[in-house]
Amino acid sequence: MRKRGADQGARALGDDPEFQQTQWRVERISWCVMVIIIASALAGLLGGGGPLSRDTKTDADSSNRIDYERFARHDSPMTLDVNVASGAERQVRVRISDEYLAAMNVQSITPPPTSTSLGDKQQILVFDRAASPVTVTIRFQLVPMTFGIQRGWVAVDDGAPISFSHFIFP
Amino acid sequence: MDSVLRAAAIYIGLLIIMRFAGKRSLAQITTFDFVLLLIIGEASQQALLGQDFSVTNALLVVITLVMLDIGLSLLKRRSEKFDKLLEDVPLVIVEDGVALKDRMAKARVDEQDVLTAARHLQGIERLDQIRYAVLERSGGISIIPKPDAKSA
Repeated sequence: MRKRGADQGARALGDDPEFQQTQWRVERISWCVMVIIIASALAGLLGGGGPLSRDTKTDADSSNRIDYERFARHDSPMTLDVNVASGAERQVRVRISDEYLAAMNVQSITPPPTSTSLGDKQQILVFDRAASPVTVTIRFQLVPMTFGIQRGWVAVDDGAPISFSHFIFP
Repeated sequence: MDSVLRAAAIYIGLLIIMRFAGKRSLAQITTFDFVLLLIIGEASQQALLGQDFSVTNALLVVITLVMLDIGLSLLKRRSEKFDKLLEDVPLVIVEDGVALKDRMAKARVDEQDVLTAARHLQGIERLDQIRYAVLERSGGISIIPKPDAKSA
């Protein structure tokens, strides 16, 4: 059977069945790719929320925990939660990597720290605890100003730093 | 996740609203239809993008909208019922030069609209030269002239 649209007249109109076939094939493949992109976005692999987008890290004695976005997006708000375990101290000192904060636009810290000071390659934020035997959560609202892998660390009081990293999509 | 859900919600929301509004609503017959289209675009833009100004978000929203559109078009091809549900059916509003008043009233089309389309598309000047005028699914009116209409 002669292929329809493949005769001289159709050719003169610009009909090109071979090219069209290839184009259709590429189209179908690209649809599959787009479905995969949507599925990974729904799973949270492209940032912006989703079951796989957040992760937690605890420090060595696993009393303090941070909850952060594994995948984030440039110029889009995200949260970093620091859960401080109950302790005897009335004050909580949270130390954060200087370099990390430089890459972020800090929108808010809830509750606000009572004082901040600059240390060696770190910023030290001090929070008051109403009653000492409670766990407190300090929430940082951050907007990434860079993209790619961004590493950071947070330490509570004199504890060891808890390291984490985000992958920030452009 | 948010980008995909936001885009899907807006797409489905607008689809339902536009479908309920009837086919004549945004056929761009008047300047105001055009303005309405722009306002709808502006109003949904914020909800589509949220606070997220990243390139990733913009592309994800677009990919989601395009894929929803392709997905629905594939479904429409599979099922005639679904096609009608989503895209409406054509409606004959003039038959053999006679305007079907009740249909035209329900579809919010008047004789002037039909004659405008007749002049535009076929160079016809009177209703009795029209064999069929059809309000298409897209909201436009198409005209089928009587065989002798143009010579008359």
